[in-house]
Amino acid sequence: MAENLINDLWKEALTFEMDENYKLSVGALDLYINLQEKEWQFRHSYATQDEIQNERKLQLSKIKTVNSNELVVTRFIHSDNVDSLHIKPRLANRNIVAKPYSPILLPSQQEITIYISTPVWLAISSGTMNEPLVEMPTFQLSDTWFGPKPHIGELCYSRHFTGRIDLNVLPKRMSRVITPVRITNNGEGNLKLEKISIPCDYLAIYQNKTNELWTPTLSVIRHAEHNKTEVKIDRTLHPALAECKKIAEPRVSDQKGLLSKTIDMLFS
Amino acid sequence: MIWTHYVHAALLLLIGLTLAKIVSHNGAALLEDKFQVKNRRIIQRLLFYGILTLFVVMALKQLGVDLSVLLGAAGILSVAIGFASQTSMSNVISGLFLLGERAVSVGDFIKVGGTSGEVISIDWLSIKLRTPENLFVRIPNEAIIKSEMTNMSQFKIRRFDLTISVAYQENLGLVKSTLLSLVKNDTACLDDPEPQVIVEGFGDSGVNIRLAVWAKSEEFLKFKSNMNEKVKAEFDKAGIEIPFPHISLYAGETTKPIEVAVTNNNAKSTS
Repeated sequence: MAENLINDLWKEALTFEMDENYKLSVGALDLYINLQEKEWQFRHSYATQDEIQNERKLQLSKIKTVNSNELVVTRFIHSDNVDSLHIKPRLANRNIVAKPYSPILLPSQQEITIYISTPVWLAISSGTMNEPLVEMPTFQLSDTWFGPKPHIGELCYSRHFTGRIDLNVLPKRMSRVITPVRITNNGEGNLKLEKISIPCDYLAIYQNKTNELWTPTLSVIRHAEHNKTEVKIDRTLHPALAECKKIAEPRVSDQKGLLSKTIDMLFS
Repeated sequence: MIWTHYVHAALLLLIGLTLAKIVSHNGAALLEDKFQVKNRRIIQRLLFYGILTLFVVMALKQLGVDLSVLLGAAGILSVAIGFASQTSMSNVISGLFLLGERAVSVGDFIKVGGTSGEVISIDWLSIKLRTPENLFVRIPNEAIIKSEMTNMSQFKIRRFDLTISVAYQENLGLVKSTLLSLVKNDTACLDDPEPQVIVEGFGDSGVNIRLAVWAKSEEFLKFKSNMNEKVKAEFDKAGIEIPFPHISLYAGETTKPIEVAVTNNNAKSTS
């Protein structure tokens, strides 16, 4: 079985041989790719929580057979033979509600940057096509509701985070996108951070020189007047993105909806 | 003199026609977000003919036609039509209220009385449903206004209540942790609002437990079925017994115990 470790999955097209089975492992996702005459066949499965305790390496391997009985096949039929796939990173197709394992308190007049990593979605397109054939998450996230009442709010994905504030101890994982969240508490009293909604639709993805994926900084400011909260996406990128390139545009380019989606329900 | 009356009447008709077209067209465009295509068209027509009728009446007045006779006849006719179309009008007005309330829209899954199904159209007189058995059901708008209607698609999330009984000898802590662990590891179960395991009381055969878990409203039936299946599998794995009804026979304190005799069937058959 030939194995290829991939340093930069997003850079160039992956080429496949006809009638061969391939397995692409990213995060918890095992994607089985099979190229037939004018046809792509995809099957996928997810590793269990125990299997992904240590972040697996991103790799593409040629395998003999796929246990096709257990996995559902998705077929894409083309008019011509195309032997390459482009894989681009995307953020989740819904907001991700990140919850710290234990509540974090930020005292008054303090500012801190917390790093939250969220799983990357793969957008797979064939040959020179721009529109992806399929999009799939590299981790299966649980659904959650973000809103004050079960009839007010929106459906999101749920994710727990450690709440790391030191960039040096932040694990570098290929299948995650790091979002720096800068929180400023200008209000009176402590700011209790129990959950925060990452507005995935509004964030672009950047790749830095060490191939890490980052989003722009999400700035959350709690003002002194009436403890009002303001959320915005910083125009200046985080220093970790000193040398970087934008590799994915936000799903929604119009930022108008960002405030209504995050401000009111940001802190519980 | 007569010619000028004709010219005025013609001008009024022309202005009326143009105004009706402009108002109905722009009015419908303004209502684009609020109404569905079909309802928009009806409103558009109502506006058009309403304005046109007004101008036709004005044109007739210009021509010297006595409108009081016409109006009198129209009054009698409308009373007659009113009596004849009482039910229809009631449905039309109920339909307008339904539209105004926005309680239901095409594609929603609703339940009215004993009938439930997907709304395939909302018309002036009735709402048409397609039941899960693929039957076409027409429900008059009036019936929907008068009775209780449940819209299962109105909110994005729903709570599923699974009531289950466990045997009296089971450790309730284990039962609770088994259920909560199952829900925690299932990505289809929402972690917020928080799932709950409630001990409801003591039943005839076991302790009644209720698992309240939230999920997406879409594909709820599939979720419900999967959850039932998973709970049974988890209980089997953890060795938790789901009891069936037990009946203990007691013959009373003063009476003798019920006599039980064991007979040897084999011995009987050989004899």
